[in-house]
Amino acid sequence: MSPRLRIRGGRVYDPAHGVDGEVRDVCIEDGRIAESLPRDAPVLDASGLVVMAGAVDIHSHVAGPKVNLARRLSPERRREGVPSTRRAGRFLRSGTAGTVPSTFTTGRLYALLGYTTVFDAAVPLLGARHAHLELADTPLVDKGFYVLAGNDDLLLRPLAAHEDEEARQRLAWAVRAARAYAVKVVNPGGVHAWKTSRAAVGLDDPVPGLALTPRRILQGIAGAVDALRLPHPVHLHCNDLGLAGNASTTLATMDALEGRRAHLAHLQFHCYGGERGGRPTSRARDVVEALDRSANLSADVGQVVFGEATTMTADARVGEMLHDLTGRKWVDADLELEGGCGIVPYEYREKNLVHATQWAVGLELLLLSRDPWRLVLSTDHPNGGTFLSYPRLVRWLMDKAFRDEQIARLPPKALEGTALADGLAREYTLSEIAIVTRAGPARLLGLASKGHLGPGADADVTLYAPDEDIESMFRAPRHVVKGGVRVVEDGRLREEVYGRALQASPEHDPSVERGIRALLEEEGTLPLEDYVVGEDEVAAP
Amino acid sequence: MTARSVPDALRDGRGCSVAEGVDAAADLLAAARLPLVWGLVDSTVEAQREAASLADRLRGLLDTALSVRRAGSREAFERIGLLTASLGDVRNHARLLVFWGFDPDVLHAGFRRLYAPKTSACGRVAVDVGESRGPSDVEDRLTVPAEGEIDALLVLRAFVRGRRVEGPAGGLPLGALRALAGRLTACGYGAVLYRADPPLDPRHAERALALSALVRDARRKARLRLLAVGSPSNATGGESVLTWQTGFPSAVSFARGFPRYGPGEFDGESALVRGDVDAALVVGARPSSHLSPLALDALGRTPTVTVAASPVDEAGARGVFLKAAALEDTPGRVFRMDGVVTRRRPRPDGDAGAPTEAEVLARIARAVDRRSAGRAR
Repeated sequence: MSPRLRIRGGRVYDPAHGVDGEVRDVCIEDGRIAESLPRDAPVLDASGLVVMAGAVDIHSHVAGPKVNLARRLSPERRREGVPSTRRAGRFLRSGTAGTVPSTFTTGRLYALLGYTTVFDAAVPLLGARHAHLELADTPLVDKGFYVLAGNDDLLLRPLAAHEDEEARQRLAWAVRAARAYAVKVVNPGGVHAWKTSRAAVGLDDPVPGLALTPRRILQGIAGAVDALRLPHPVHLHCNDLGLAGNASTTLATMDALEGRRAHLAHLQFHCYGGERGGRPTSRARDVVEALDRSANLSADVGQVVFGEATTMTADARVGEMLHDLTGRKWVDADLELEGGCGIVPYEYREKNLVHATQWAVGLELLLLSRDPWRLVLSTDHPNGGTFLSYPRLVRWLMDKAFRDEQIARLPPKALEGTALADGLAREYTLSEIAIVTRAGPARLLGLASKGHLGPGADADVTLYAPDEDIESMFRAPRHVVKGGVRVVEDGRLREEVYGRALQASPEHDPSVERGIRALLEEEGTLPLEDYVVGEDEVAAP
Repeated sequence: MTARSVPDALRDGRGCSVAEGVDAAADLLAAARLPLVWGLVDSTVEAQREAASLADRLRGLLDTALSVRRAGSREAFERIGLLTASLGDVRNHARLLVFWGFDPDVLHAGFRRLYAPKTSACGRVAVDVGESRGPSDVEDRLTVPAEGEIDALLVLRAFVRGRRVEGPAGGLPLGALRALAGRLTACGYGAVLYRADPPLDPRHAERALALSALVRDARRKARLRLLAVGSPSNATGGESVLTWQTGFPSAVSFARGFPRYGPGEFDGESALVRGDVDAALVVGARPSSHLSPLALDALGRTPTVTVAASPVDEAGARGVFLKAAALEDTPGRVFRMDGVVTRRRPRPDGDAGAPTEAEVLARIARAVDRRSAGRAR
């Protein structure tokens, strides 16, 4: 590792500091961005190259029990893509690709795209130890996960009893026990309802068996996350994902938060008009306008990309729906203390009216958004497509002609009522791309040392060779520096380092453990101590 | 032989220092054209990760000792998926338990406390398949002939789907199957338990597939979950580690420098019987408990490194033995059969002085690396 490096003369895009394509040096010392370096510091000539901070994936699925079940479910898909081979001395482990790559390959593929930080968006408390094991085997990125809440008795019982302080303390305990970075709520109350009675609950419907509504759960947990001052607000998968007409639920959810902070996950899947049970249409315009108006809210897009995908969600209803729709193989796994997951291999097709509408909705959201800091990129990997699709998504945003070529291949009906049909002409600038791929996600995550190139930031830097074909430019960065180490050089992996595990550590009142212990004795199969992930089980915290 | 009297290392049956044993193991494995790393079911996750890493380094084959016996459940999973639940979820919600041709409490002492609902409102039904009997303390049982087992499952599935079944019953208890289908679809939440790793059972794959389809087809009437219950071991951990590291749960070949999957080709049993492997590393399993006589015989002729709490006879006199603590004396992580990872604490009176399997494997890996580096120079 070279402790010093001057990246000289690149065109720097660092929107967090208002730097928009200025030619300047980026200095690195001891894994951090430095103000300056001695003249004799080693140099990486970046003349003619575009320089950005390493990209940050705010919403992905890369580790934990459901991800591994998805790998097991489809061994035939491991043949897709190029496997990673072992190279003695540098890349000690090999791996396989496909829509859900093995861990070693996942880290390498992210690094080869210029991504240096990745978060898994949904890990149950009982799966935390497993997730950390996989993250420890995921190289080249800093990583973390969001622990699931909102359908488990751990929080629902105190919320039902209007014991909000107890709920807050329990949430703090859960985040710390899991060594998670943030809190994820999936279909609040809805997962519980589906599992216990196959009921779908609206925002103000009572959750079966509980004196609670999803609104109350949402308000309670979002409030608790705010009160605990976690770096990232509650990461919310709204109710009614994927259903026609669900934009009303999404808009009502935004209102229900009443100023509390929240990050709306994979927003594209929650912006549909139409009659319930019918064909989804676009209501992207309504939702993105509401998002723009609400400074307390942010979102990632969850763009659909045509091709192979694997749907995996803690919202098990969706898994069953997709199995019924496609007849494809399906995993539906329940977890005690009320969790679970659904997994279905999937494919998005250009000629499929619903898929084409989903594609259009995602792009509408991004192209209509007035604040790129609050609506950032994701494909909800591998749900909307794999993270390998990001370069194509960037090109759709930056290149209207390329977007129009795609539109021309879609069923015209899919575009009806969308802003794309109105000739939406916006093209993102490189600075805006830097916002939606790194500066924005880092800020939304509260990662002060990520997503920018100011002094003290982590020395995660990506250098691209400009190309008229934007997709090619973003598909193969020329160089990637991770924590000060040049891990990708001339488009090829050069070194393998293992990034840090990112976690939040909120304090909790130890007395809360009495109630948790009693609950686990009643409903769980492990003692409280076995839920607590040890510091030594976390990769390089 | 007590744990403390077991030598730390043996080379071709004679005592040697651990360093000599490690060097000899690395020599043997690094020189092999196609080494096999096999076992892993009685190992911690830490040891399983080291074993996979070593197989990757050696460009060898990697397989778990139970991969052949678990093939039926695995194939069903890969063909149509699975509707399942954690043990605690079954305990909390189930109102009906159906034991298909086995008694999990015989397989696992103390297992019942994990899955058995506390409420007396939960029904228990045993389906005895030929001589394979379910628990004795059930309120209802039916018997199907072994040769009619798969037909019985198809009939049961038809009843669950609301179909009429006509024609000769072929010795099947149609009335009892119809009644069972009625209970399954009316229970709200139920679990069907079957054995994940039966020894040498030609119907295992079809049974697993039929049971998986049965619970899936009942979904609009009841929430049925299928639990494949394996022998007490960390076989689930082995499959999980191999899956996240390679993409595949077992039968992995690294011969081309990246993982390939080949049940029936790259699994230890098949590779040994065919004579494909020219060295083996056995860790976390006793070969005589898992391999066929033919494969055992082949293993006996294969130079073998054994990492275990005590030497195993089947590995033959040629090769290396390196002592490692048994699973019960090893701190580390293990997977429960339902995929939940727990942290194991060693028993207080165990052989705490012995190195762990993971430590021994890591030493061998470093020695292999030194040989690779030497060759590269």
